[in-house]
Amino acid sequence: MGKKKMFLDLKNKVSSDESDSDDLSVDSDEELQNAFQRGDLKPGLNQMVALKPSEEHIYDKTALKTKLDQMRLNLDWIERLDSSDNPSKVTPEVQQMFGNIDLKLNKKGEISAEEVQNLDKSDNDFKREMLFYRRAQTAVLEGIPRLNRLRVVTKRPNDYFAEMAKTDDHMKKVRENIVKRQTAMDASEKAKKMRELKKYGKKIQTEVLIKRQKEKREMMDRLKKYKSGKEDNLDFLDGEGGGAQKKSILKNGSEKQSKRSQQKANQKQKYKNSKFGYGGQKKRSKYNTSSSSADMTKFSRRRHSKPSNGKPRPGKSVRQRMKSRSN
Amino acid sequence: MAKRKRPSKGSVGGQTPKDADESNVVVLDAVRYSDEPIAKKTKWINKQRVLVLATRGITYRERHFMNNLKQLLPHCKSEPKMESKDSTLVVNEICEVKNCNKCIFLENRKRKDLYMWLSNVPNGPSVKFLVENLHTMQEMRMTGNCLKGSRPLLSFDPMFDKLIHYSLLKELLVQIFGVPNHHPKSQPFYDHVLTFNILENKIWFRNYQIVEEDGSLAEIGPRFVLNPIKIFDSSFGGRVLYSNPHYVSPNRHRRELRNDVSDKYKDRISSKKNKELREPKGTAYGDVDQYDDVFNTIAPEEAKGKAKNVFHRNKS
Repeated sequence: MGKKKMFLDLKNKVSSDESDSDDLSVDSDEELQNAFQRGDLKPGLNQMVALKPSEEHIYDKTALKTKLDQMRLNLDWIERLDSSDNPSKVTPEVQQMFGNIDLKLNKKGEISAEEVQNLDKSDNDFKREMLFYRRAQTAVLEGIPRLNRLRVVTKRPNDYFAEMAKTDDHMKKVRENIVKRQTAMDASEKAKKMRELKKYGKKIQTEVLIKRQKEKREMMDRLKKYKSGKEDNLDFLDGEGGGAQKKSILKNGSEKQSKRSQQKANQKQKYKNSKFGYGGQKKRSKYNTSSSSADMTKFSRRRHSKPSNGKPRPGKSVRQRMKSRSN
Repeated sequence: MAKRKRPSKGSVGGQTPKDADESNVVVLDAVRYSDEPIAKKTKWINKQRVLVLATRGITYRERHFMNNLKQLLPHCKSEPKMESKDSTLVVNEICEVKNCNKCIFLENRKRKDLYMWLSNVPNGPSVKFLVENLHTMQEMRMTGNCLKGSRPLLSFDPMFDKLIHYSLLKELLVQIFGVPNHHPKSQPFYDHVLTFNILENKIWFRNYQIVEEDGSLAEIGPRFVLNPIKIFDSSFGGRVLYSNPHYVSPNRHRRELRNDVSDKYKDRISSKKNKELREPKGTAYGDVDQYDDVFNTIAPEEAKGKAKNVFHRNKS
């Protein structure tokens, strides 16, 4: 109390142009010495505290109560239609869509301070609006049946045409606005999906191309290997898939046979390739060397050998007759 | 010319709702005499008349808001703009002239802040509010609609019953915003609900249309926030019964914002000055090289405090 008085005195003495909130920046030595002499200042750290506003906050409960009793209208509920409502329960569908929109309550049952701080300061905070909406829902869910019990009609019939708070033109504009926003949203969603699909499709396409190229490269590598002699058989031409399929379908015995027939076919192909492959090799086809003349592989012994049974070869005229007969 | 008897509210277009209260249906007599006194209507007992008034200097948004209030309250009367040089006590006289017992007075200051007075005119309490976050009915996001002058259901936060000043406000709000039963200009059906919620020591107002009676609602508007400033003993003046400790006047609020901005600049300048003072100047520290400490390493066991962070390996 004394300190406050001291500060007030100082304020009066100081010049009147003090506009900032931390006024009383008066700490001239003389004034402090005077204050200490008077006994207003105690030893230790003295802090300058800004003066509180002169009018204190009034809260005259008794007067408020008397006033309330004076002005209160004690009418039936039907005249007032007021109700005190807690927010209605959140349905599971809504909870699934939006998560937990319930606000935490503190011990008193009021909304806890941290929730209030977290509520977004923007105009359209979702949680806040949902709270108000749910309160209104409770009022409706309790009020309408109560009115019906008092035999009062609540629902407007469809053919009751009367003046509305908003004109039909305005409602038309509102509807158009809603439709416009909906279509814009749909269009943007569609565009997003198309972009995603394109990305995905492009990805798939590139994957397939790469796969094909890889297969081709492998095949060529194997062919080259075979040509250079590093691989025996041409099994890889059938493809791994084909060979495996065959193995799974056929049984053991026929498996061998099929392999034999495959080998035979391969041998034939090999022979033909050697003779006619690469345009039929001409360079080393005809030789007249000692080794080529001594080569008996092309000589058929069966044809040029004597006949095994005793019959001699028929004479010229018999042979000619045989020839003309066959013609 | 015989006075045409007004058809009862339940029988528009010749159709009577079957499950209505039987006293709503009026059966006309076969023969009527013109000099017979008209039967008194005794059903309208809650005689509230609200005067809706604004000062000059009101902006377009607030004017639309005033019109919205007039649409919602069929028991209201309107007055042209009041000169701001007249004091608020003049409003009492205007109310008396118009025979109104309640008043909503919208006062605009600096074309920025809207104050709303709610008052019970002859003797009763009056309240001054600061109106914030005002949105009118005409905004495109407000998709609901209701009958003009239909009676609203009023929904209050349970907090209104806990504190005495809120209870007083609740009573005032019920009497002003609640449309009296059987008011001649009111419509018979119940298709909208007004909600008053308390959040952060302010009163949040919302108006919803009852689309389906199972609880689906659409917002009609207007929507606003009332920040109570003071409750007075008599109409537009008198002893202060309650002043809100959480109320910050808009001027002070703007000033605080500006001070914060200026504080930032002041802090920067002072920190620069302090840095200059702290720097060692002159020849006393001439041989001190700022790179002297670079190759001093502390062993991990000897590290203290923040230096420990250097040796801390993040688990990534």
